[in-house]
Amino acid sequence: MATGALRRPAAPRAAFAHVRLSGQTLLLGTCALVVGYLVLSPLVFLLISSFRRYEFNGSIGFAFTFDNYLETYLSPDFLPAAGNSVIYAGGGTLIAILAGTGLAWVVERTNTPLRGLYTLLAAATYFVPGVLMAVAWNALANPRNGSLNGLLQNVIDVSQGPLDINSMLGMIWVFGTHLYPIVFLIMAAAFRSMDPALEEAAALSGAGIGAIFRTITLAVSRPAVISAALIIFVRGLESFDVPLMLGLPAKINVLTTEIYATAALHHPPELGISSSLGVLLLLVSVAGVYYYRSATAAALSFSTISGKGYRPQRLDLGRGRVVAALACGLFFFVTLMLPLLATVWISLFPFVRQPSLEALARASFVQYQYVFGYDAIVDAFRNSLLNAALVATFVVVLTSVIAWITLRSRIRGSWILDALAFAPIGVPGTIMGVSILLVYLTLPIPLYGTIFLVTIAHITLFLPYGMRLASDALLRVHPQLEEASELSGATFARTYREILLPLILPGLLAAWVTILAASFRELSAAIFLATPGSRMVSVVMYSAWADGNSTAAAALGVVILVVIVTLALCAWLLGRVFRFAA
Amino acid sequence: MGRHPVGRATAILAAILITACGGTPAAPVAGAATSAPVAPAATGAATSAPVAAPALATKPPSFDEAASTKALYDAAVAANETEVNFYGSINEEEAKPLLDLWTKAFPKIKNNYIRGDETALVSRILTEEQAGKHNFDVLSTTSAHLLIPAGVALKWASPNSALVDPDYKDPAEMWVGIYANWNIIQINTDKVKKGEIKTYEDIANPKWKGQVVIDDTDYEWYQGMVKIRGQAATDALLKKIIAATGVVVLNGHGTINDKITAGEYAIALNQYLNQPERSKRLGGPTDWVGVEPIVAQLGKIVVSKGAPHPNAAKLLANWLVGTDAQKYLTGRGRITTRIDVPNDPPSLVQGLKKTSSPPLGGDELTQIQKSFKAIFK
Repeated sequence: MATGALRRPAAPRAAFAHVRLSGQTLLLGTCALVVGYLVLSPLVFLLISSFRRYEFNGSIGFAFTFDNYLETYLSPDFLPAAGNSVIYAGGGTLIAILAGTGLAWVVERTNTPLRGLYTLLAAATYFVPGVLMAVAWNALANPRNGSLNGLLQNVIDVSQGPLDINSMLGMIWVFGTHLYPIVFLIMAAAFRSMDPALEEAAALSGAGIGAIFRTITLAVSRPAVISAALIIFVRGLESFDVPLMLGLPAKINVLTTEIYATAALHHPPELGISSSLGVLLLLVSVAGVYYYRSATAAALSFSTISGKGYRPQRLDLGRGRVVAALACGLFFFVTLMLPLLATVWISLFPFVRQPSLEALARASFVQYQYVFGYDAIVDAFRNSLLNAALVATFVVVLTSVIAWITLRSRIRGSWILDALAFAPIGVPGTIMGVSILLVYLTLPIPLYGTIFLVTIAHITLFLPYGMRLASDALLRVHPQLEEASELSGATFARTYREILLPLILPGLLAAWVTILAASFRELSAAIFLATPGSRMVSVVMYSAWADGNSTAAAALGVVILVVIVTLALCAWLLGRVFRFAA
Repeated sequence: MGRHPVGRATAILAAILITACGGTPAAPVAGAATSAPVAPAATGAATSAPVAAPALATKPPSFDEAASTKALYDAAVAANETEVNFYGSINEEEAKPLLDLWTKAFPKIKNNYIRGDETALVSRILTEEQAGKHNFDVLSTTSAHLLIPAGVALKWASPNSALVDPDYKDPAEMWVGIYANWNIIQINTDKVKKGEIKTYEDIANPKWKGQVVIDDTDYEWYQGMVKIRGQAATDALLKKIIAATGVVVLNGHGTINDKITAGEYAIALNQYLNQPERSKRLGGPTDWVGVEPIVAQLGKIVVSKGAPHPNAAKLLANWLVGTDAQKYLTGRGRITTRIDVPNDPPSLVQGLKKTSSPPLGGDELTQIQKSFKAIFK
C-alpha cells in the first residue's frame, strides 16, 4: 500500500510528550476537568433519569424502576422502528458521504472553476433549519400535488407521483442532502492539507483519476471518513423533524418518533423514556469511538503532512473541469436551489399556495414585512449568532487541546477522554436542557436564567463535532515536525503556536464553521432553556411554523440564508484582502 | 382529577348568576351511552347559525373589573414586586402585542415571558420545583393542569374568572381557560363543494380516498366524540371513515391547515377552528364545518403556589381573563372564554352548541390515547 511509505515502526507519539510534563500535566488536568464538568453531569443525569419515573402525591417525587427500558425496548413496535432508523440513518450517511466527499475532492484537489462558490453553497445548505427543508421538499415532491410531480406528469402518464417524498427513500434523500455539508467540511479539511506526492506518484505510474481517488486520496483520509460517517449516522438515529413530517403520513416510524409517541402516553411526558433511547445512542457512539480508535491506531499511516516538501497541488482535470463544474452546478440546483425556490415561493403568500400563474399575480412581501417589523427577530438573530460564535470558538480551542492529549501524549487511558468528549452526541437536546437546568439550580454558580445556560448546553452538545474534526486534523500532521521543533529547543507553547496550529488550522476552521451552523440551528435545548433575553432564531422560527404560520417561517428562513451567505461572502472577501495584503 | 365540592358549589352559583344576567351557559350534552342525534352542520363563521343566537351575557352590577384590577396592581406594587415570570406556549408573534398591552397597563411590573412548547414548559417547571427553585408565577398552556398533582398550583379564583363560562373553568379553582379551541372539520373549498360535507358520516365516502387527514394528538376530540356518541358508535364511525378513505395521520394542526389550504388534502377530520379561520380571512380556499355539539378544549392558566411574585402572579392571571386580553385574543381568531366578551366576528360561533370535557390526565387519558392510536394505526 502506498501509505506504507509513511509508516515508521517506532515513536508513534511525539517523543517530547512526556518529557516536559509539568506545564503539560497542568494543561491535561485542566482539560480533563473542563470536559468532565461539561459532560459528566448530563451523562449521569441521562442514566439516572432513564431509571426513574415521576411520582406525584401532592409533591414531586420519583420512583426508581426499569419501566422506561421495558416499555421502550419490549414494545412490539420497537424492532420495526429500530430497523427503519438504521435504514434511514445508514442511507442518509451513504448519500452524505458520497456527496460530501465527492464535492470536497472537486473543491480541494482539482482545478474545477468556481470552487470557492461551492464551499459557500455547501455551508449555506447546513444553516437551513430541518423543519424548513422538510416543508420545502414536501411542497416539491409530495405525490398528491407536489410541484415537481405536476411538471413530470406532463411528460409521464401517471395520475399521482412519480416522486414520493413521503417514503423511506424520500426521507433518506432529504436527510442525506441536508447533512452532507458536515462530511464536505470534514473531508475538505482533510484533502486541503494533503501532500500530493502520493497522488503524483500514482499518476506517474499510469493510474487513472478514479483509481487515484479510491486507492490514495480516500485511503489516507480514512480517519476523516470514519468521523464523518459516525457523526452523520448518530445524527440520523437522533433525527426527529424529517421522519415526523415526511414519514408519518406513510406510517413509517423510526426510533425517535416511536419514543415521542410512547413518552406522550404519560402525563406529563416521561423524560425517562427519551433517556432510555439516549442510553442506546450513547452505547452506539462509544462503540463508534472505539472503532475509530482501532481503525486509526496506526496513526502515522494517515500523516500526510510531514517534514518533506509539503506543497498541496491540484489535479488538472483538463476538459473534465467543465464537466465537473456542470455536475456541481446540477448538484446545487437540485439539493439547494429547488428547496430554496420552494421556500421563497411559500414565503410570498400569507398561506401556503401551489405554484401557478394565477397565484403569482397575488404574491406579496407581507411576510417579509412581518419579519423585518418584529424587533424580537433582530434580537434573536444577534443572540443566535453571538451564542453560536462563542460555542464554536470555545469548542474548537478545547477540543484541539484534547485531541493533542489523546493522540500525542502517552498518558494511559487517554482514549477515555476521547470517548467522554464524544459521548454527548448520544444525549438528546431536551435531556441536555434538563440536566443543565438541574446543575445550575443546584450549584452556587449564578448562571441560572441567563443566556449562558444555552451556551453551556451547546458547548457540551457540540463537543463531539470538535473532537472528531480536531482529531482528524492532528492525525494528518506527522509528529516528526513537533519532534524537530522540540529538538531545536522550542517550548511546547511555541511548537504548538508556530508549527502545529498553522498546519491544523484548516481542520479547525472546518470544525468552527460546522459547529457555528449546528449551534445556530439547534432547537431542543434552546427552547428548553429559553429566557426572556435569550430568544434564538431557531425557536422563533419553530414557534411560527408550529402555530400554523409556516409562510412567515419560510420568509424568516430566506432572510437567515441571505444573511448567512452575505456574512460568509464578507468573511471570504476579507480573507482574500488579508491574503493579498500579506 | 377530583372535583372539589366547594368548587362545584361556586360553579353552580356562578352559573345561576350568569343566567340571571341573561347569559346562556352551554346546555349539557345528554348521556354518553347513546349516540346523540347529529345536529345540522354549521359551515363557516357567519354563513349559518341554525340555532338561535344567544345574547351576550352582561356584567352583574357588582362586577367592577377596573377596581379589582387596580386593587391587585396596588398590592403588587406595595409588595415591591417589579416583575412577573410568565411561562407560556403562545407563540412569540402573538404574545408580543399581548405583552405590550400589559406594559401599557402595568408599567411598574416587567413581564418576563418565557416561551416554550407545552412539554418543555411542564418539564422545566417540574425540574425547577423539584430543585426547590420557585421561578414561575403563571403558566399558560393546554396541559397546564398537569401541574396540579405535583402540588405546585395555587387554588385561587381571580375576580375576572367570575365571568368565565363555567364550562371553561375548574370548579375546584385550580385553573381557568383563557381561550377555547373548538374542534371542527376543515375543508378545502376548491375540492369540496359547498354542502357536500355536513356530517362526519359524509366523509365516509370512497370519493375522498387519500384526501382525509387527522392530527396524531386529537385525543380530546376523540374523547368528546365518545362522550357524545358512545364508544361503540364512535369507533364504528371512525372505522367506516378509515375503511372508505384511509385517513392519513399527520402531526401538527398548523401543518394540517397548510396542507388543506394548499390543496394537498381535501378534508381534515378534525381541526381547531382558529386555523381555517386564519387562512380563510387571508383569502385561502378553506372553510370549516361544525358538527354539533362541537367539542371544545382549552388553553388554560395555573398560578404557582410558590410564586416568587405572588401578587403580580394574581394580577397577571386575572388580567389574562380580563376584557383587554380577551379582546386581543379574539382579534387573533381565538374563541373567548368570557361570557361577556364578543368573539371576532361576534357571529363566529354564535348559536352553535358545544361540549367541553374536564381536562384529562393520568390513566384515563392514557387509555383514550391507546384507543385513538389503535384506531388510526
